[in-house]
Amino acid sequence: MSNLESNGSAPLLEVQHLRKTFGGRGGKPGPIVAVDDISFSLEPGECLAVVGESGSGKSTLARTLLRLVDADSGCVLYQGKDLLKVTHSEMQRQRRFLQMVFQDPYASLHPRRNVAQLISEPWEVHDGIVEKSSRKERIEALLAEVNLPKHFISYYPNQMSGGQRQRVAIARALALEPKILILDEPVSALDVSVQAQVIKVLMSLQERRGLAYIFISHDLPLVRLVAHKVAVMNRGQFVETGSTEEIFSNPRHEYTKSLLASSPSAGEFENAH
Amino acid sequence: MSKLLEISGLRISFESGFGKVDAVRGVNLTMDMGDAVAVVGASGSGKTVLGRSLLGLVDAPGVVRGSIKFGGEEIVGKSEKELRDIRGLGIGMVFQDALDGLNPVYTIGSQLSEIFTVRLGLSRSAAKSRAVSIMEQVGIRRASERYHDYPHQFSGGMRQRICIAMAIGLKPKILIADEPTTALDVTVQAGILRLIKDLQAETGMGLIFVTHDLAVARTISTRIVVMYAGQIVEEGPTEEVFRFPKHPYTKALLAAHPARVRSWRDLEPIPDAFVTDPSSGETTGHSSPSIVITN
Repeated sequence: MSNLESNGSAPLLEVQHLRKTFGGRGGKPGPIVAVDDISFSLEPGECLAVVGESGSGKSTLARTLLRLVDADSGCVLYQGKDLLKVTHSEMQRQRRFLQMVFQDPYASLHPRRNVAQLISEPWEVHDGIVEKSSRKERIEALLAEVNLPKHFISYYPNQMSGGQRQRVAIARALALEPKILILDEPVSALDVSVQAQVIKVLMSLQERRGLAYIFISHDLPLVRLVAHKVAVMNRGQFVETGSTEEIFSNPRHEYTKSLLASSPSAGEFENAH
Repeated sequence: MSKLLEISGLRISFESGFGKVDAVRGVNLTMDMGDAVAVVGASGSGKTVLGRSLLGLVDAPGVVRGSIKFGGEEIVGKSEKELRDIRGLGIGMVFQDALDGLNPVYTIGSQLSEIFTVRLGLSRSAAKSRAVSIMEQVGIRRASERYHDYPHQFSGGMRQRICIAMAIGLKPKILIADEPTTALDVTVQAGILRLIKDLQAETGMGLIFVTHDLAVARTISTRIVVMYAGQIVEEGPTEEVFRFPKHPYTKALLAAHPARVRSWRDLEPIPDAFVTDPSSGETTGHSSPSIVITN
């Protein structure tokens, strides 16, 4: 665990002993432990990949960080402030700094809103961030950041491909100038052939804006390309953590080894060129 | 002697609100027993509808023209009644979403043994023992107990194994697998791919494996067919296609694959001219000057 913990001054995000169970009654912990004593820290510009299979608790972890579900215990310190302790209205204010991009852009974008409405909606919720008069300009700038042409502003989701939709979802997540993006399987609903453009957009954004990413994925070849550090999650726990280099070249935990061995593109495929 | 499968001049089109869409535009393909052919392409390339047409599963308003010969017998134009003898017995199919293939209100056992009572006329007890043994064959532990379980009591990977069991139950000559592992985790995917490979080696059936993932295609196939906008743009032995891709689209697919590069900076997104428009099934560019159809 030590390599994911803070060194010196307070990190951007620090999660300590986070725990979430399901099936409990009356506010008591339940028998199903989805997130079990998770601790990690995250710095600006850093990409932490959380890898594991369905049911390992990765998505619940993401939701717990944003208080989309309530944790049982633990702390989520954002710039030193425990998000699990603040009031609901304060949490709503803080949420602009931690935004989420969901797996399926076919489900996460309202089919009857055009791109302008989709991207500007967060500004209706969070007052005073972007003035009405400058919104069109800002939307165009956000579209440019995700490599979409200006005229997409009037498009509806069904007029766009999956990769284009996901880039709109990313532009919307950026609308509130967040510091951290939680990316929950951001490309796994897309064809392998269109994943590349979305990944390039995400990674150049990170470089340009110094964003911190929590990148949830089960796609190890992809994780190897984008992450600085990796946490392997199994049954609610981080069973192994380390730098991307360490995890891929010298996996220690049996579960990590089995994940690596299962990846169809590992081995000769990557050296084929 | 006639080939196991011989597709020639296959064209499939749909009449839609936007006008006529040609999903498959002149495909020729042959295969023999024991062949493992991966059909690779992006969404909208026509790979799924190509697979479905082999079983006569293209519904109106879809129109199929050309010829699909299975063991010398023409499939195009056959009636539902005639197709029934080919489906399952001649050609089996596994779909992407295992839940689509299973009825939630019947036990796994009754769905599996039904195949044998209806199609082979076996007695109920004989059908049951056949069903249990095929469940074991696809790697379901404690098969005779699990025989009485319902689909929701199985995990996604186990459900897909059951769908494979249903598809191979009647010992078809060809198995069509349409993205059978796309919805599954990598570890589960590895198990399913191994299972399909083993079954193929055991039975010698021909395999048509439809996928958008080149890495999966490489694991499973001996021959690759790359589809783009309804046509086969490249075809060859799997290793050869990976080592010496000829068509620009194949090269672009390889350059965009995360497992082929060292850093995200080296990823090369598919050029926009190659991205198909979801509403029309056509490429976004009015024409694709960079594409030279070679076959």
